[in-house]
Amino acid sequence: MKRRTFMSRVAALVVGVRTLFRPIAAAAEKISHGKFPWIGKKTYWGMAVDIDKCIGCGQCVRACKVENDVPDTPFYFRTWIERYVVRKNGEVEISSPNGGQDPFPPVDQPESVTRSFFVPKLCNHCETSPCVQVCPVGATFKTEDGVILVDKDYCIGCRYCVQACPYGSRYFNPVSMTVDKCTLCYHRITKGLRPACVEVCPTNARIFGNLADEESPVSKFIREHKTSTLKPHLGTSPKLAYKGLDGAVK
Amino acid sequence: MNDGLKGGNTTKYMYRDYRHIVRLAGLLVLGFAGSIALRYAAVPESYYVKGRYRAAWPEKLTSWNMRFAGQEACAECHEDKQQSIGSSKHKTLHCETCHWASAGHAGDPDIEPHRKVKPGGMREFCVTCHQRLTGRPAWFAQIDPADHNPDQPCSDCHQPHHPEMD
Repeated sequence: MKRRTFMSRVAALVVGVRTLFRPIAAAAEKISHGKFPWIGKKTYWGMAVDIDKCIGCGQCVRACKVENDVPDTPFYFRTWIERYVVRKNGEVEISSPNGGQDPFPPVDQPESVTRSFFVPKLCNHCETSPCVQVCPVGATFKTEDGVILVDKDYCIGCRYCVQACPYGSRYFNPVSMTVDKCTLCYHRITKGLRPACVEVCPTNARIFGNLADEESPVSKFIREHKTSTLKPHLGTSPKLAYKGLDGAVK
Repeated sequence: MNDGLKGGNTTKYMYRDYRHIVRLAGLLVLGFAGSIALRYAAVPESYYVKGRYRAAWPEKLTSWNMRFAGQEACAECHEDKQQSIGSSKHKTLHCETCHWASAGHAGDPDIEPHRKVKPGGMREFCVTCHQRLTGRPAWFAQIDPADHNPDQPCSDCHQPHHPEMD
């Protein structure tokens, strides 16, 4: 084979292979960060939290437990409230008595407190979620409409996902003997209702809706306010947006 | 291949030469069929229909019983209440924020709402939100229950559906 023929055939092969893999590269681009994953979809559920409005009453935590049969004992939560107390010397105290269901106690030395606020927490329904990646049996997954769910008929209860979640959003349910987590009240939202926590929030600190719909409350809220997400450096691309997120929040 | 030394049945000798390959091919086919059968048996129904999960689960989840009826259901019968509270300082509250999970009542009016908030016995309940507390935003109405007319029911002055004082 002539050197010229060889070179041109190699070039043709490279071009051919590239063309062949272009659709795969395009698909990879689609799930990469920075682009809205709901583009081209009809429904894609999301939530936003307005920290400046949360009063730490705990109604969301109670409502979630009632609606979803979450065991009514401490440390089983699909959603919970944390109170951050930042002192003048920079010390941060985080508390969550019974997930925020019990009253938050008065703080010691209130004169040294420089700022304090409540942060409601729940599953962030990440786009590239570690929990989905580690599940050995494919029991935790992302639905077409963007919600991370646990298939309780299929979960083997290995709790690998509990460890993988950087937000602590999962727990092991001692009744079902499977992992359990926030479903954004999937049984409600698919009927056009709000999740229970959003329904009972007295100050509209939780905003819920369809991210694919520009006119939905959550799309408007995220568009019109300065929001951010928890632990963005982990690259999990959470869909839970926070307004008024303080640097002290973990 | 017959080298002709033994003569006779050429086919027989030829088979002797490549029967190990036939065996190997047989094993390969068996293994392939076996793995397909195994996969068929191990992958649950409706898996891969919509993605790498059982499409049956989200469907099953939607049949979970609701406990909270939702504001729209309340407003079907109690539109007057919704409108009156909508003009008060409690306008951001939904019925079930206080009256609690009442899907049963929404389905059958004879069933009492989960919580009939009774005037007089409300002091404990009101402070869930209105107790002065570190962390609560300054714009939010807060009282110190020990100083703020102790032992007097809140509803003596503040009607819950219209909490502002006239």
